[in-house]
Amino acid sequence: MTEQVRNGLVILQPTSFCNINCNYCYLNDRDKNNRMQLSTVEQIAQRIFESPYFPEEANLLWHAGEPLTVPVSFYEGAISIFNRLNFRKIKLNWCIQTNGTLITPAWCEFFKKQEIDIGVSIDGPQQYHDANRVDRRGKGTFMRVLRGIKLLQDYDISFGVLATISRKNIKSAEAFWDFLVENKIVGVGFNEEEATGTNQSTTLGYNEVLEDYRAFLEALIRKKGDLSRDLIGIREIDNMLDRILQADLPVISDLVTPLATLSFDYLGNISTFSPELLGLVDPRYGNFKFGNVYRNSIEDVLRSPKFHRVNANIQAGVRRCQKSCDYFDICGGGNPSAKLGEHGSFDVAETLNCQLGVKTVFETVARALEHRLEANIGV
Amino acid sequence: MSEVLKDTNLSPDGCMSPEKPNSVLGRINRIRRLSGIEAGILKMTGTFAEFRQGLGGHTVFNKKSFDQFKQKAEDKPKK
Repeated sequence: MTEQVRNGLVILQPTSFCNINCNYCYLNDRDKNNRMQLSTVEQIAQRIFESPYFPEEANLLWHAGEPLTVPVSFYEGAISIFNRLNFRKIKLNWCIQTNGTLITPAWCEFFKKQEIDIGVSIDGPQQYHDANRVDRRGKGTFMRVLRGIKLLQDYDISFGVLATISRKNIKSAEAFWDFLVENKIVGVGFNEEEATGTNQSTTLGYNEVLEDYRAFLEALIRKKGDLSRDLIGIREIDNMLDRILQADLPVISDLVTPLATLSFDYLGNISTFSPELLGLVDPRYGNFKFGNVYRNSIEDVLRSPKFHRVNANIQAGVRRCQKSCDYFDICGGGNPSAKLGEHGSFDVAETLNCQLGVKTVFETVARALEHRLEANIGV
Repeated sequence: MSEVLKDTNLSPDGCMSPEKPNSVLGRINRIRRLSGIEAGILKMTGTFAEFRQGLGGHTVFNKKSFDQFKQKAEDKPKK
């Protein structure tokens, strides 16, 4: 397996706490101020560097709860530990996904010095963002996020944004595009609101949602003018375009491949597959913690009986996808956390997450390509 | 396409084709043919030996596109 699989992403949860309280958040302990200790960071680093799953480089993302509620000094210490233990000289790519409300000049200086990739969560123009992304008093956070974005730009720090698509903003494509242009935002990704964790239902579970999402993406493509990633990159469109143009390569989904995505919580617990699983508790499986860095190597995860049970069910679900879904070759087997959230089982095929994030995206991008090629416009 | 040929692996002229024309793979292959990918006219952007799904869920950005954006902005003639 080590020859076939390499890790694509490590998610480090420095705290479970988040300073805001979004309506669709799935995190259980976002009101608890649990924090990762630097001794835990050291254990994680040791486990990563002794693992064969990181041959050349590692993408390390601080995410969930809000990473900037932990002081800059913690991250300075953590990066210093990783650099000291990196005896194999693996290339380390650091990323932080933040709600943007706590960005200060001190953070910007740190981001710049350490060359950290930044993702800011914002759901579009104020009326859409503030409908869901609220603080603990229920007040919208848009102006605070925008202040953080302006600070990043003042410091010439590159960043992209992640937006959650819900029923509140799914019809806002044109306003969304204008918002990106006005605020000089050059990369955006869309996550669909999922029924998972503490968010038991999604506002996207209505009849016309697929048509609405297709119209949303089509409007963005129209606004963009072409399908290239010049000026503003749209992750869903860019990734699908890449996948269509590289269809002769086999698809491997990191979400269903053991250890391809690794998540560590503040206590050093280890999980894999969909990152959302680390914080979940399920009546059938219990939690999805397959080991702990103080007791286990990363390879020990593969020997955990709980891992075997979960993996067997996830792979059964992937086989169902392969057998029943025409889109398998561009997807690779779905998202386990969405399967569990929507159906209570990994051993299922289609989810709303597939219908939106794979099928609708493919149909929209493929139609745009077909139209351009038939009209001889070119890709 | 005639009803007889619908849902078969036969193309409209009745010849065998490697995939149903209106299937996902059929459409992808047609796009690749028309775009010149198969003839190597269009340059590939990927660097991995296999295409990886899932990476994009939590990271949205790469510095390369930002640098390209900046370069384009700087290249534009100043008014």
